[in-house]
Amino acid sequence: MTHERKPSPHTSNERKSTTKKYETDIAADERDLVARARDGDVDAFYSLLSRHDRGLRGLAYRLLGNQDAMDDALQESYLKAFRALPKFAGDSAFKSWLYRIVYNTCLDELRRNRKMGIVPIEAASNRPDGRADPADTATENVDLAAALATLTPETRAAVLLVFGDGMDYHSATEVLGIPRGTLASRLHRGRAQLRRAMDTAQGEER
Amino acid sequence: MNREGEEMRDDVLRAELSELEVPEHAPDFKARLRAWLEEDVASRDSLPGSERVMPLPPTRRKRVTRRRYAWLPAAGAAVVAALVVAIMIGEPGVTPRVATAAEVRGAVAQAWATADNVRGILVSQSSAPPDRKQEERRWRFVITARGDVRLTAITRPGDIVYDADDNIERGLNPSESISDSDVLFGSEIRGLAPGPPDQTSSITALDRALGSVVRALAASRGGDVRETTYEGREAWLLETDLPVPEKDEEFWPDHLEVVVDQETGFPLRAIASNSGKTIYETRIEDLEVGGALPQDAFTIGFPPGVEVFRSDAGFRRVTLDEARSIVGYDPLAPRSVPEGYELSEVAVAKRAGATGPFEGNPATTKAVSLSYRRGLDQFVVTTRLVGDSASAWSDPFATGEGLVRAREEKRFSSGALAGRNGELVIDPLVEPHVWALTQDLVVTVSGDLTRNELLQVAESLETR
Repeated sequence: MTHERKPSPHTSNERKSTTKKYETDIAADERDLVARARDGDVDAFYSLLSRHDRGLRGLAYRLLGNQDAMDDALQESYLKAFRALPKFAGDSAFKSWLYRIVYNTCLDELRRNRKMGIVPIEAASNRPDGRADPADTATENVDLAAALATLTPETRAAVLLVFGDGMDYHSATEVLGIPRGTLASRLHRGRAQLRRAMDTAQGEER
Repeated sequence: MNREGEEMRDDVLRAELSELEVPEHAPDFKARLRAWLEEDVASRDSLPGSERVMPLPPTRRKRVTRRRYAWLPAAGAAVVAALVVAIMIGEPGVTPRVATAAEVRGAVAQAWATADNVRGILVSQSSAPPDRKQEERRWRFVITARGDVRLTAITRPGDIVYDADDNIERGLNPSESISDSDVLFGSEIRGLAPGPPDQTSSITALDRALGSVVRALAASRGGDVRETTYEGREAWLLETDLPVPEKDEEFWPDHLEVVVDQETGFPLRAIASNSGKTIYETRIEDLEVGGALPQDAFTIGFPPGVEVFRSDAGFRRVTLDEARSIVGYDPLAPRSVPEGYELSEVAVAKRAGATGPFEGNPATTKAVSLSYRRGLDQFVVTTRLVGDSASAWSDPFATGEGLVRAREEKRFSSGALAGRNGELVIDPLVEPHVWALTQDLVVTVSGDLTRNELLQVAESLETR
C-alpha cells in the first residue's frame, strides 16, 4: 500500500503548471473516491488509504513504538474512518481528517498503556521489526529515532507531521486539534530537544 | 546560532526525519482490514443505521479472536521459553495455524494483564473425604484490576466485598459452624496485606479458582494442550499430571485439566482428579470481561441488628520511606520487574499472623509487603524479620501439613540474595513463589510470574 510521486523532467514553469494541474486532478479524484467510499466502495476507500498509508505508518509507529501496535492502531483508525465517512463534510482535506483519526487513536492507545504502566516507546530504535540492526543502518538515524522517543507524544507528533511529513501549519493544527501558537511552541520545543539529544549523542561518539 | 544556520539545520532535520525507516504492515493486514470493511458494508445493508453498532476489529496485542479469523498466537517471553507441544488450529478456508501450549498460556497471561474487570458465576464442586460426598456451591463474582472483589453466594445467603480503596473486606454470611443456618453474621477485616503469604482479601481464593491454576501451569514447564469445545465455545484443554505424596495418595489430585476460552483467554473450568475420580471441579459460567460496573458494586450494608465481628490483619499502607522507618531496616525491592508491572501498594505490619504449615512459623514481625500489578495480574515481594531462630522457618506459603510437591533448591547469585539458598516452588496447586532467608530477613516473591520471571525478580532484589 504505497504511493510515490516520481519527479518529472520539466522546466520550472512547466513544473509549477503541471504540479498545480496534478494537485487539482488529485483533489477532484479524491472527492470522487470519497464519494464512492462513502457509498460503501471498499476499493475506492483503499485507493484513498494508499495515498497516505506510508505517512500514517510512520506517525503511528513513532508514537506507539512497535509494529503490532502500529497495525492495531491503523486497522482501528481505518475502520473508524470508513464508518465515519458519511459524516465527513469535506471542510478539511481528507488527509488531515484521516491523520486526525489516526493521531487520536494512537493517543488513546498510549493513555490505555499508561494506565497499565507500559512504557509507550518500547524500543527507541530505528528498526521497525525488532531484528538486529543491519551493519549499514545510519547511526544518525538511530540517534534521531532515540531522540524522537524522548519527546512527549504530542510534541513528537507535531515534529513528525511538520518536519517529517512536510505538512503545512494549517493542516497540522487540524490534525493535532491545537491552535497555531501551540503548534509553533511544540515545534520549537521539539526541535530544541532533538538537537540537544543528537548533539549529546554525537559528542559521546567523539 | 543565526537564522541561516537554524534553517540549514532544519533542512538536515527534515531530511533525516524523512529517511527514518517505516515498517511495512504485517502480511495479513490488508486482508484482515478488507474483511472488516466488507463486513461493515454488509451490515449496512442488513441493519438500519440506528441499530448498527459494529465492534471495532480485534487487535493483535489484545488477542481477541473472532470466529472468522484464525487465532493469533501471543508472543511473550514466556511463550518463547516454552513448549514444543503443538496442536493445529484451523478453520475451513483458512490456513491452519499451529498453536503451542505456551501460546495458550500466553493468551491467558495476556487476558489477565489487559482486563479491567471480570464477572461471572463461579461454580465449585468438591468431594470431601472420607465419604466423597459431592457439594456444589455457586457465587456471582466480580474482580477488578485495582483489586476489588465481590463474591455473592447464589446457592445460599452470603456476600463478601473487598474495596481496594479502603482496604477493608466486609462480609455478610451464615456461620460455617452452624450447619444449614441462614442467620447472617457481619464481618469486617481491615489491614489486609496486599497479597500472600500474609492474610489478604478473598481475591486470593477467587483468584485461585479462576486463573492461578492456569498461571501456575504457565509458570511450570509441563503439560499438554488440545482443542476442544466447551458449552458451545471454542476452547483449549490443558492437561498435566501431578506428582502425589505417598502418604496422602488417595486425597491428592494426580491429574489436572483446565479449559481455557479461546476468545477471551480466560479459564472456564478446572478439574483436579485422582485415578480418574474428581476431587474438585471449578467452572465459570456467564463470563464477561470488561465493561462498566455499578457504582455500588463493592459496597455492602449491614442490616440493623446484625452482629458484626471486626478484626485487623495488621497491615497499613505507607510509602517505601515510611516503611523503612517503621520496620527499622531497608526493605528489599526488585531493581527490575517484568514489562507492564508497576508498584501499586506498599504495606507494613509491626506484627501480623503467622505463616507456614499449621501457621507454625515464628510470628511475623516488622513485615513489608510490596504489591506490583499489571491488569489483573499481581506479584508480591515481602520481607520480615527472621528473629532468633532461622531454622524454625518453613515455607511461608505452605498450609496444612505443608506438603509441597514441586520444590527446587536454588542458590542465588546476584542482588541482596547473592550467595543465599532458597526454594522455588512451581506447583499448579500452590501460588508460584520463591522464598529465602538472609541473615536477618525472610524474603518471598510470589504471584503471576513465569518461572524465569520469579527467579529474575528474586535475583534483582536490593535494599531500597
